[in-house]
Amino acid sequence: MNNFLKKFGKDFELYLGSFFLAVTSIIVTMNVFTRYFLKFTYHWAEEIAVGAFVWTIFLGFANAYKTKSLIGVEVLTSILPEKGKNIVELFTSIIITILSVLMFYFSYKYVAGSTKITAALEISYVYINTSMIISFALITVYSIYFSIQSFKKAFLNENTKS
Amino acid sequence: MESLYPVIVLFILFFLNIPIAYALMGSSLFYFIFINTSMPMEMVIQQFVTSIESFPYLAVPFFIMVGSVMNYSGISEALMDFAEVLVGHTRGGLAQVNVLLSALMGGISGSANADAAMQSKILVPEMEKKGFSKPFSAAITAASSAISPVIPPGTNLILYAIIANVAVGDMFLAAYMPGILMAMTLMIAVHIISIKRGYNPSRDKMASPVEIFKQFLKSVWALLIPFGIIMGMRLGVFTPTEAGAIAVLFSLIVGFFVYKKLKLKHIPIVLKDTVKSTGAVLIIISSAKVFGYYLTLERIPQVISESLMGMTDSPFILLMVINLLLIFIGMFIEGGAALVILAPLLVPTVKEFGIDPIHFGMIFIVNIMIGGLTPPFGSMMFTVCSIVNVTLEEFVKEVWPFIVALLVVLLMITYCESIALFTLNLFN
Amino acid sequence: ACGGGTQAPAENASTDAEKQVEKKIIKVSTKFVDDEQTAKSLKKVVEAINERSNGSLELQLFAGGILPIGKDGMEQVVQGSDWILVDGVNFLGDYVPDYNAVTGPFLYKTFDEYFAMMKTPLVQNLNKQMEEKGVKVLSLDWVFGFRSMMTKKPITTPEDMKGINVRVPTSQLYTYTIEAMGGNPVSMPYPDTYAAIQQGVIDGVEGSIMTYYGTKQYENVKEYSLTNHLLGVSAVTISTKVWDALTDEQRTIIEEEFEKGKEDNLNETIKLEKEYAELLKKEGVNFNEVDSEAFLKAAAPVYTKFDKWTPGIYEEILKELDKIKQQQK
Ligand code: NA
Ligand code: NA
Repeated sequence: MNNFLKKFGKDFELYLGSFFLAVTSIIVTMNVFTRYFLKFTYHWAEEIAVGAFVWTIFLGFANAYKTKSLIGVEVLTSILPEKGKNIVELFTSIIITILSVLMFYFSYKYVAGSTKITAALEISYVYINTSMIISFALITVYSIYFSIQSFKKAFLNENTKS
Repeated sequence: MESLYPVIVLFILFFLNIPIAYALMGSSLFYFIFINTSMPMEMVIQQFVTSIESFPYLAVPFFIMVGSVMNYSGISEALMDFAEVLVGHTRGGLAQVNVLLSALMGGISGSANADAAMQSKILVPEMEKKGFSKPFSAAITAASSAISPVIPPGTNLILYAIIANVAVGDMFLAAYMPGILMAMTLMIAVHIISIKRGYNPSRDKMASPVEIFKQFLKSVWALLIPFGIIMGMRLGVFTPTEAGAIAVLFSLIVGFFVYKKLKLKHIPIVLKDTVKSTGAVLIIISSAKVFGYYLTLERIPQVISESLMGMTDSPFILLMVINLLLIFIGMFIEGGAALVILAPLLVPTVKEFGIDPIHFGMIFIVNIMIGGLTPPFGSMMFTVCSIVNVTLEEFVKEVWPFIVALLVVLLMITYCESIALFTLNLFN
Repeated sequence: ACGGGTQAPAENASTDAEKQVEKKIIKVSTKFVDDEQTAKSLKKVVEAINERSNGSLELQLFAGGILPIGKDGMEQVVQGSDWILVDGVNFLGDYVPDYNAVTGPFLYKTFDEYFAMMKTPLVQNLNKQMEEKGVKVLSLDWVFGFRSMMTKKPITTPEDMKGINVRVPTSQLYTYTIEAMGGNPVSMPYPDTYAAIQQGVIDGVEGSIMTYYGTKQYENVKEYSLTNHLLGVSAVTISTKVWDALTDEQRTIIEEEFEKGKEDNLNETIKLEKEYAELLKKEGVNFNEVDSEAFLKAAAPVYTKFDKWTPGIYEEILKELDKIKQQQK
């Protein structure tokens, strides 16, 4: 693990995501108990649970990309020799950079113009959907970093320690 | 032809080892930027994010979390001891334990890969000590791990229920039968091979009823988890999502206070694992939703449906074609991803043919698990081979009888609805 | 270019041809499925507009919620997409809350009273406020029936609602309305209600005759009590940005055809409600008249529950309603 990623905090998305996941879990569990023992439910419970859940997803997504845990089809990389693998990885990282920049831009535009409010609390969806923008911004940074890494490996014969 | 470009882009991206979620996003963006420009990008993003802002999907992280808790809570060990007293005395004892353990664990977690990884580490070394060959041990570990996602609860069962618009509870009830059949046929296959090769039992004689009962009492808490989930949902006490949350709570209590293996320090690990897996799974769902928009706008499901109907009007042949297609795709794509992409395409078609969507769900779920065992890219195959250090050739030589056994189950549930839906009808 | 001339340069000819085919494509999105009346009438509207506009307009109907509907559909309209949304008036209420007041519980006894209210300066002013938010309201009049109670026991007074669990959609207006009527609102997705009634989780649902028949609730509950507590009605909305860019002729065509469609929808709905009522009676369903005055009184507190509604809006509505009732006598 090199300095750049270390600085960024290897797991910070997961810690933040854990907080949101805990919120979701507690609220849903609480809902079952209040309904069966106290005969009522908080009308905002479902909304907060879902909102925290969306944050969990997008933070987990960014971390899964960073730690190369996203599910993919490893057809090409399992056949190719080391050099070829690095070139494919460079190419892959560049494509992901492009897609992430596009998704970042479009989601920023969407959220900036968003007018939707939630059903129970009537709060703006902006508070929920901002997680998407942050996620794609993070992945853009990571994928640029990965591109540079694989470029070095592929063409500068540098052996990065990891 | 132009309307099929995004599909081509999708396959190119798959091939380049772009993660599935990004491949789906990429091909959808390609469609909405270059082919169908009448849809505002804001709508595309809106649908991307709205698709996961849905309460039923919350069940997914909860069941992932239960599986993760299980790794630290002593539940796995309790179940293993229970499986051992039940089948340890039979021919090929530990191999039978391996199968039964997957079925029992399936009642709690839903991940074939987690199951395969765990048993590769714990059971395979034990099996080698008892004289099983390493490739055989690897093969039965991988093959039996296909049972875990089929025995409820399971993420794939939930996802299919949401996509096909059937009740999660019905899906859960129905899936017991295929899961049990998979365990049975695998155990028969193990039995035959064990007699041929002289694999020994793991214990000298059958456990006494007293011993079985004692072990049952020790394991009962773990066994209660699936039972409680199903009963709670059946009785309308809670929704599938709430059932997931309660299962988390229950497994935490069992881990902390009954088996006492779970420690506070495990909690952050469990949460972090769950966050990452949740992100990886659900991002595929929201990307698939946008890709589904492209398919809908280009009327591709109708085209597929019509061409299948033009080809045949027999549900028998239709299911054969779909099974072959799914097995083929399952060789390349991870099961859950295949489900999210293909179920929305296929469910409307099979309904047109008068096939019950829950019945089709059983076929779908069992089928995609088989793909995980085959070369070139079966995910459980990779997991087990890399952990126990077996080459793919060695693995394939040993796994094929088990694949045949699972194909028999697939055929049975494909062509006999009363078998496929046996447990569902039993309780309804 | 006026086109047609034999010496017209090739370049001109091609731009001319482009202009002819260049038409405004507008998507019409609705939750109603193909065989529901609103979707049927919309289909006629779309066909008529496309024909009358001589290819300058192409409206594409997406029924059954294939494209975004509800809050998402409205957001598309507000953001200026080439989009017409046909969905509940309550989605306008997210932007101008008083829309929920003028479609509040127990106000109207007939469709005509409702239509007259929509023409009052009170509601026209709401439409103006909506325009400032970027939404042109084309119609508020696409009705699909009054909503009443489908329960195990007959209901005639608020007393009869005591202790009854009634399913409501996730909406505060519905929640407060059922509460004020005396029942316990239980929020759940509609498709779950059939099983929920059988399991005794709820004692009934509320909705129109069409819903009652279409979802076979009569197999579970046999009493249909005509509370007419809320009116099921859709608004037709389009982005002002899109609207302003249309020619006068295009606007006239759209307005006139949607007006015709509204009439068609209304007539068919009235006819269908009668047919379905007969079919339901054959299934053994009892139709019960209720004490409307008692319910109207009971529901008054609902109008004080929403702090986003303009203070005094209820009194204003009642005043307008009185005038309407006088005129329609
Ligand atoms: Na196993
Ligand atoms: Na499972």
